[in-house]
Amino acid sequence: MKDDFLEFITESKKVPDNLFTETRELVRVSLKPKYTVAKFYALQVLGMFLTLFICPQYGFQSVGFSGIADWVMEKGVFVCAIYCSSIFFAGGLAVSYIFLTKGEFNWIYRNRLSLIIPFNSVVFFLMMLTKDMALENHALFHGNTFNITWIFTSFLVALIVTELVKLRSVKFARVGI
Amino acid sequence: MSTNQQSDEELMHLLKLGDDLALSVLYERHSSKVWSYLKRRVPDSNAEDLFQDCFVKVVEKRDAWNGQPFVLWLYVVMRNTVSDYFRSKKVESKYLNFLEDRSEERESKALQVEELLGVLPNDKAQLLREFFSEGWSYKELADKYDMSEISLRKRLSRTIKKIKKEL
Repeated sequence: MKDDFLEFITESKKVPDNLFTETRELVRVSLKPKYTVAKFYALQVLGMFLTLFICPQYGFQSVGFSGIADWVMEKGVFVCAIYCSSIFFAGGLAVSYIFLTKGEFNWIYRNRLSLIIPFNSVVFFLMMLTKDMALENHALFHGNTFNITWIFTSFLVALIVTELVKLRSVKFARVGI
Repeated sequence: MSTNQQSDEELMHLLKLGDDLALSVLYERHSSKVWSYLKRRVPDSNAEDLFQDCFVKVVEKRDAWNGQPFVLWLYVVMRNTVSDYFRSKKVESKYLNFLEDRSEERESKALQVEELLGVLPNDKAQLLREFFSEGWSYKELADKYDMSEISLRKRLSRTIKKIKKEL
């Protein structure tokens, strides 16, 4: 152990620039993560809100996208719940990830489960509470099948989108972008 | 005194209060040592992850630092990070070995079954193949061999028992 420690304090090697910068940003975020968490959630809520413009339940039919949603609704409750949840959460995360810095994203990625699962669950319960205020109260949106499919799809989509963004960032880091 | 001239331990006190400048200075001072150590012990792609893990742990566990020399504490944090990595690798490799053994075991069993089918009387071997490999149902087989479903089940069960005994 003594030799090992001596080796540690006497030898040094330059850290690659990309890694050096990325890690410095990551540890800064780790020191004060509240701002990053707030930013992550706020941007996600904004993105989710934007997706409601093309939602037949809460949205504004005048924007002209309802045709796709009508078609999806005809396909049944499963397809409808998967479509709704995917657009809602992927839209939210897309807006969020666009505006996060690399260090912030890395920190989010490390804590993804503890951030995504409670957030999606809270959003789910809020959506349940506001169901009656929706513009269109179709019976399709009120069954357990819809709710369960919707919440599980939300976890899955959030994790997939996060993994894809991570893969993309790793790929770009390797070519020095 | 500027942050750059302060000792590591003074910087750690500041870091415990949430000073990010102290964190930057500590990081700049010691990152190359950590990198050098990791590079010699773990593969490149893992070294990058462990390097980040190590400094994130320094931040997250800063309250556990109780005044000992910072370099020694950093060394312990890093060693633990590396140990955790090798422990997880060991578990992973044990699991992979287990899967490999299982697949070898399955392959050898399948070969043994084929050999036994060769030894069985033709009609019994044929019956087993049709049931397990070709997916015929009890009813279909009972119709084909012109016997009741109960008799067919008994015959299959006896043949399987015989094979199990041989295996």
